[in-house]
Amino acid sequence: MSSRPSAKPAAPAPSSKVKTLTIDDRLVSAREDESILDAARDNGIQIPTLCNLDGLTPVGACRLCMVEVKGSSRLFASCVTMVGEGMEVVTDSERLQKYRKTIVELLFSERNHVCAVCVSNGHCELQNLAQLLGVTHLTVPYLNPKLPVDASHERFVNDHNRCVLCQRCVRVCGEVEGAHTWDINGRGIGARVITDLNQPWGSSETCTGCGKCVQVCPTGALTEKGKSVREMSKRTRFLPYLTMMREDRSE
Amino acid sequence: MPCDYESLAKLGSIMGSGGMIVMDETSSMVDVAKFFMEFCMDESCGKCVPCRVGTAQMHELLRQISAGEATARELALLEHLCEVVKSTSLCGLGQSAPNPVASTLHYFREEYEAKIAAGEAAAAGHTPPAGGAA
Ligand code: SF4
Ligand code: SF4
Repeated sequence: MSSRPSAKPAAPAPSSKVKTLTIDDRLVSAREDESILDAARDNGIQIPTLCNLDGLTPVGACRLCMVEVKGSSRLFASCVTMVGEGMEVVTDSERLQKYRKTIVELLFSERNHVCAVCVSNGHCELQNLAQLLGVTHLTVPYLNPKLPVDASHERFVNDHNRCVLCQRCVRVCGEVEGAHTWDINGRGIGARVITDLNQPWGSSETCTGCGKCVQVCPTGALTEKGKSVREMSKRTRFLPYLTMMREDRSE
Repeated sequence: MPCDYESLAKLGSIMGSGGMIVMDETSSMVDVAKFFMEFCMDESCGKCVPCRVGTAQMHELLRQISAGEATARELALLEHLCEVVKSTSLCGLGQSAPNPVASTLHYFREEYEAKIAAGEAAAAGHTPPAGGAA
């Protein structure tokens, strides 16, 4: 028996093998190819996430879903860590809460989030996380970067000031729409989402205008034109349904 | 001191690519930590939040401390960020980025404290910050 978590396989084939583990002292069972995050959610245990979205490949980028696993001093990103037999997982502790709060603070400090004038105010996943984790002010300094807004697309706007680099747009465009218009350019604190080879979105030759990226974007970074403050609410839950419909049709 | 993995690990260092830097007692340890943090900030790929933003924040805090613009609050924040970035970063770069800060703080804490004292004095209005108008 090993409680060491393993990485998620590249192409997960549905498994019928079942593992038994405890999450927050509750005995649960899960398929061996399920992540700790999915197993927790199946059992009504909520772990905060930001980059994760049902229907997209998990990337473990935001680090908010980190959990403790007994027997290891390391923390594990629960979205990309598979369940293991006998594993004892802790999803909420003082230490985890402290780290999650700091990660949300770092995101607010990285770009220019002025919620009061943001189209996503009130419908924003970053804002929701701040409320959930009790981030009422920042202890880290604001980095105040000077960032552009790309409003060249007919129907959509890309405001880099609100982007959290979750890569949801990159993944939905590549994995679901198949256009691969979005990518990340640059590195570290200079990383930015780009369309095509860093061309204005409006001149993109690959963008189909489907708007999936806008709907899955957790913040006010990708929005529809013509929306005023607080008006941009999104539909993020269409992906599992879409995948199911496609599978039905291909049968 | 033998130069092998175990001995270096005992000193709180790593072999890395085998490079070694020789300094005399005039080198500022805060500046040394800032130099290594700048390297990690530049090398961060940017995928995970703690490394991407945490290294930039730690670099800024080290700049403030080095310039005598920081108080005990900034030093405490730096130590907190060291812990968060080390524990939550996705890969070895972020996980080890705080090491130079941690080890200079461990062996040369008085150098940080001298800079902080200057910063506290400046904040209290006794002396202007180094090189700047009050
Ligand atoms: S994207 Fe969200 S957190 Fe950022 S300014 Fe808009 S509402 Fe606020
Ligand atoms: S534009 Fe939106 S979806 Fe894309 S990386 Fe930024 S925050 Fe995420």
